[in-house]
Amino acid sequence: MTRFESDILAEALEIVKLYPEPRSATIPLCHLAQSIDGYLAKDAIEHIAELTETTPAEVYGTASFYDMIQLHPVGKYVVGVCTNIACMLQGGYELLEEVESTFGAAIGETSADGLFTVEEVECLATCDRAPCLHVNYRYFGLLDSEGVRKLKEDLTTGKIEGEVPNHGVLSRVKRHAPELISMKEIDDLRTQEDKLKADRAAGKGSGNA
Amino acid sequence: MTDESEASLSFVLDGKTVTAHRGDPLIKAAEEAGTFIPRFCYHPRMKPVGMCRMCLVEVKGPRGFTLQPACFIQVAPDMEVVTASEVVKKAQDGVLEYLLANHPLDCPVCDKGGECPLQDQTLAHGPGESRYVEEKRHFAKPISISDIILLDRERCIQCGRCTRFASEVVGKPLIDFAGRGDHIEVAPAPGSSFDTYFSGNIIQICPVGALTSKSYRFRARPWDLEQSESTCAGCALGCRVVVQSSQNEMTRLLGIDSDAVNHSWLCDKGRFGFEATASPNRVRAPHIRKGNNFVEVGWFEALTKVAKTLTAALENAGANAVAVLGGGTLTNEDVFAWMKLMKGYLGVDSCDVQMGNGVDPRLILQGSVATINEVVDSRTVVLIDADIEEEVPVLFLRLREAALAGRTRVVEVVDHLTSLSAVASQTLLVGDLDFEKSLETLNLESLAGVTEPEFVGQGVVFVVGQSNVLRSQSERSRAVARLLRRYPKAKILPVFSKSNTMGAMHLGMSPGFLPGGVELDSATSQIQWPNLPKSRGMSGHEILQSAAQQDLEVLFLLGPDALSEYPDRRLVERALERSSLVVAVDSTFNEVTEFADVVLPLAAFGEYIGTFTNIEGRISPVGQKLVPLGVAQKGWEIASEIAGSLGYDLGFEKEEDIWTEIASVSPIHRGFSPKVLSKEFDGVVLPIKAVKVEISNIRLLDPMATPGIASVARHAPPVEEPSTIYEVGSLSKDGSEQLEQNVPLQIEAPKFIDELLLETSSIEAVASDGEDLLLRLSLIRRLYAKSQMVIESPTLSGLLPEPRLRISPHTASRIGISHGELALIARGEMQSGPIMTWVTDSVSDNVAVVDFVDSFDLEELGQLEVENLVKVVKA
Amino acid sequence: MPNEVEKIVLGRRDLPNSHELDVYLNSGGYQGLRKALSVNPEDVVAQVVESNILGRGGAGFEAGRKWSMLKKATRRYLVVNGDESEPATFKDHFLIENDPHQLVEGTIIAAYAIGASRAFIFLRGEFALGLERVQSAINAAYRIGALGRNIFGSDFSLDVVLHPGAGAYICGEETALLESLEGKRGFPRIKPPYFPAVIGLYGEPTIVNNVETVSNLPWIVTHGGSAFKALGGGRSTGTRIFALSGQVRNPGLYELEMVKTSFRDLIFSQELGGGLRDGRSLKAVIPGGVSAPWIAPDQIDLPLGQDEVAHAGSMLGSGSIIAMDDTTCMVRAAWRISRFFMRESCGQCTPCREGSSWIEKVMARIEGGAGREEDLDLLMDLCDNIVPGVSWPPAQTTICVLGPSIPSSVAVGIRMFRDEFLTHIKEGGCPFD
Repeated sequence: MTRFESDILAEALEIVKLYPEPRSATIPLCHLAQSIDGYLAKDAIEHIAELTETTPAEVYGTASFYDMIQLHPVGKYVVGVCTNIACMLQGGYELLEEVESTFGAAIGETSADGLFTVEEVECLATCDRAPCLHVNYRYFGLLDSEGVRKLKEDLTTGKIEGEVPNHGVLSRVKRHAPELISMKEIDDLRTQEDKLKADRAAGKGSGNA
Repeated sequence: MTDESEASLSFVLDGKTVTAHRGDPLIKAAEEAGTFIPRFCYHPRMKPVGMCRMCLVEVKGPRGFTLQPACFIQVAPDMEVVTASEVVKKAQDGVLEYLLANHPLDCPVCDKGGECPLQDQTLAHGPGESRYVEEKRHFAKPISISDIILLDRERCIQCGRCTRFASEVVGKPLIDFAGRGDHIEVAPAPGSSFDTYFSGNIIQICPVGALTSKSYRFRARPWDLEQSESTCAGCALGCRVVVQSSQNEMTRLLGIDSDAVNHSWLCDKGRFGFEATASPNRVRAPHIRKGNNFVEVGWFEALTKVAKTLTAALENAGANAVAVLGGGTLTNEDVFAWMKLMKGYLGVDSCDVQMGNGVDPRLILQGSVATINEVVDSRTVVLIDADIEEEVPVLFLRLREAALAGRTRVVEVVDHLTSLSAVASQTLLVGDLDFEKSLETLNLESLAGVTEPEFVGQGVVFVVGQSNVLRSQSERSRAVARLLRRYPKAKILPVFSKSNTMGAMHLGMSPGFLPGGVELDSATSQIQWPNLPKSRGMSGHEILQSAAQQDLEVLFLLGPDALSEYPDRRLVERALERSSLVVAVDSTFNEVTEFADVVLPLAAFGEYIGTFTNIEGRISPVGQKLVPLGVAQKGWEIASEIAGSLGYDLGFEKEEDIWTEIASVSPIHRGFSPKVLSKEFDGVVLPIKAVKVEISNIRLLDPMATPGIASVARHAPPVEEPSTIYEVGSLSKDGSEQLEQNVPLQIEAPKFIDELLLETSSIEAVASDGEDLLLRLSLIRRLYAKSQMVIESPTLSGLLPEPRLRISPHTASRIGISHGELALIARGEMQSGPIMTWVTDSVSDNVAVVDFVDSFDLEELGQLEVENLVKVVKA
Repeated sequence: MPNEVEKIVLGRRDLPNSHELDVYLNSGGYQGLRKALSVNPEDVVAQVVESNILGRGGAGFEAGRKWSMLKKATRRYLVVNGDESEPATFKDHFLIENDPHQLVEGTIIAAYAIGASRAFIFLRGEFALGLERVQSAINAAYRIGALGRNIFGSDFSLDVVLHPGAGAYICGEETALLESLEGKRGFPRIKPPYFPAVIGLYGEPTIVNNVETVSNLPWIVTHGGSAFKALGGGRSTGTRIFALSGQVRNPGLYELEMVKTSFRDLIFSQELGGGLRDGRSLKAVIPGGVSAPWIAPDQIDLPLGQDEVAHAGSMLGSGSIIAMDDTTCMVRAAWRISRFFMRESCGQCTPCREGSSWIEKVMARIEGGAGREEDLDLLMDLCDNIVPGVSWPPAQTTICVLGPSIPSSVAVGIRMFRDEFLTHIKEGGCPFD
């Protein structure tokens, strides 16, 4: 990607408008960039800085803090295996090894066919189905080696193409709502309401007296 | 009357009741009460973040004593604080041990070794041996984060001083923390770097050796360094510095935390410009032109030649055939000696430290000049033709802070948006308007929210800059005078580019003036020199024109200002070619010395002792760390030598002799002697109103805030009898200088303002050139321009920017040129070389704003009395 | 008898397509909001105060009291904390995906009660499906007039914005969450003075409420605060979702009346956890997320109540309960938890950044067989440097409470299972491998 363009740029501008301060849009815009490239490219960092009125160093500083923001190219599917305590008790590390060998990539690496990037992740909040993993943040639990083999097959053959989205957790999240009420209008509304509330309280007070 | 209890409070520190300033962080309050709390991330000039946790102390709260970061909590009345308990010691020891866990053991080869807060506090509080047996954290060794700075991430202790400096002090967060947890690192964005004029400060404030300058790296060990206090020569702000040297070589400059001036900050030009002293292009000995070659000669031969030609010129053509240009980087001592020679013995008045594009000396010498602290504390600051980040960079930091804190309203009247525009209340772009007219639209009453019917400008300061080098002295001065007539109580702060232009003006280096701002025709002069000028001489601009017309016999160039400060290269070259004898007094060979007949070697920064006077009129010491190179001499010595070869004795054996005479003849300097500097570490503002009586031989500095300078020994000559120290003016209760609050309100504008305004505008309009679109040209100063300090310093020479032509989108479309295309600037038959077009909203329509990196080779361009209209065409 | 008697937040658990609007509306959806809008905001606050519902995020502060501490200002914000990342906690994840309308309705009620200028729902970025469903629920709310101008014809207007996180445990800490929502690195702010109710989002007073807390509001408003208070016991009123995991037969979510049930009931009751697998015996329980000190098998008769667990030296925290059986290597368990904190430390303050990493390295060494006996004292001292005295409730040298969470497993592990640590050291390896 060079920069956000056409529809995606329009979406980016909509996202910026959701916040009283543009910098708040940094992370959503990083997700948006990832939906195109799979990772946060240098040009995207610069464009996000412009849109959020920050510097590229600040965008990079923020982005690099978060595990989900990829700073290097990744495979079509990012496979994150949980090894945290609840999964570990049910064989999370064994699952991780199984995934590394089945998908052909060690932790942090991408398989030779460019399809899979494997990560070790922390708790995915799916502990009732431990051990579990995610593929592009779709969850699969209670996995044994047969389950892993089947998952790879389904992904490779495109069988669950529709179920597992592309990169970017916002790719299927679309806001359909009227334009936001401006902060100025809301400030005025709240001032009125607060006055009413105060009057009510005062009325109550004098009634008692 | 201020109620004392509003400003101070008492609290309990380790069982003792002590007083503190309300609002101070506990760490500062404790320190002032004599208890030093260890710290790393805290820096007194930045907001606290409480990150390193080294300053944890026990503070009593609703749930009993808990550990709190002393930097982050404000001292409160009756607060109970324990700094020396076992709990506190354990917590602090724990933090220190944690910081050391991953810190490399490369202290022996670390530049910070010996002046490292981490090392020092480990020595003071740390464990004898490490319990950390694990593998240390590894990062690729030093990475470059800018042209100047290397970052060693393994040494970093994540205090965030550098990142906070970038965002909070400079307003350019070009570095930030990246990553998370124990892999957190300081980083610029991928593919970019930490490019600001202030980058060197992060090296200075780093509490470990993580940030180093490429030039200083491995150059010296702290304990080998000698140091003396000095004044930066990078611009005219006069930042207080320490010059450190090792074996007759300067190694670095560090900023001193001076409340009055620079708050410990320096710009990179100031910090690294000293490297020019070690340039291979230094003049080591006198040179004389013989045919097409320079030949090295002895002082005697060079002086004889100068004396002979000078004597002949004065006899044959009179005093108007001799002139002196430049001198803005000489010390006060040098300037005075030169003026005594020229104006006292030779009757030559054509001496000018400015080149015709500065300000009228009357504004400085007879107007009311504000101090830097008055500027940042004033209600309204109007920046007139001032782009202070490019001109006096540290003032930009100070004023930005004041504007952000809401203390000061900033108004700009400039040719282009500046880096202060973002925090300014209003920016008026001069556009293609007449400068004076654009200033008339300024309505300070409405801006300042003033309701007084007769607002006379109290609390207003006009910062008079020289951003546009094509703006003539008369145009700029008349505009300011007009404002001062409307707002007579306003003060001004002039901005100069040379370190001692102010001092030179105070000491008579302007035509028509003698030292001390005494006008040549004044009857009140106490100056008893044998041969004062008979009439007013020529200004810098007139000197060049006169020389170009072959009317000048001898031209002295004190430094290379003629080319570095004057926009019209053709006129300068013609002037230098056509003068019979050009004597360049300079420390390096440069473009100007190419035209000289005699080059006299001048001591460079670091090789002389003396004083500078900054733009607020603050006189402060300049330290000597080296012996002059070769047979170079100090400026005043050269003047004395020339006088000697002419048969005169200026009467100066040493710097103090000069001061004795200055103090006796100059009303501005009355009361000053170098001894005063021994009491005032930050120098004194002229004219002297009051002097503190507190005496200390050593200036103590916070070694945690500024590692590398724990203290500076007093620079000035020793004080034999402290009781006889000079004292003038009245002192307030706390010993601080008394500002002139009780001076009766003067509403009448001073006389010189009317005089200035009587002089009619000398700018000639240029007839429209047919159908072509004519743009008004501005040449704007850049910090890194082709000055000796920049081009002779290895660190800075690569930073010279490519000049750009800035035009508005509207202008660009009318011309038919796009962003990034090359353009030519044309005037008459001449045109410039190709220059990159930058289409931007930061300039008005119908103007062309070009960076002044080098003088311009364009016919009549700098002829300041002609309107600077140009055509811009696609290259 | 320990049973899931009363369902408040998991009421639609068994309804198919519970995330769809018509299912929601047909099962009492948006009745709470309508009722709330028919009374004054202060009356809604009063009901919530009356209910005494404790915040379900982990700290367990009374939600109503939190609301009444909101500093007066024209602009104030509501932020719903859906950054559920505490290991073995998966209740919010379920509510977000399966009852998103309840979450949105609760959000609007809370915003109305506190007069929020705008509400943000901050969801953990990894909850991709949850993000889709909550956004759909927000879209639906606008469609039916439950959001936007003049909600359900009232004078109240509100916008709700869904904000995705991007993967950082620390953002569950409310001040780090606000930093993150402002587009910054998730560095927690120092309290005082940065209590969100005083200086919160964009420097304005802000209420941060957990997803489960907010999801309770429609019921509380509909049934009244006293009905909620009638459930549970002591300070722990109402029901609560307990997330049970580990080596039990029936891991999952159980909505139980607080205090009325014990850890033993939850783990061993046939209707609930169903006991340990393969007839194994219980070795230890992590009672409230991995930040909580472990409890021993002889402590499991403790009731599931906030104060009750606190008095026993641990905490109910996020309500997640991990049962570990006798096949579990406690060194490995403690190591994995220390590894989690090392990976999730934000890196801002020294004791947590360096301490979490140092402790993890020593723990890994012991588990790997290269431990030394002095390492146990070293570990305790490293813990002491983060939590002076390694006490409970913990003192701290760090900025936020992630720091004091680090020693919970390591220090308690050493205290409870010192012999197991020593066996690792003496045998030069893990006896469970």
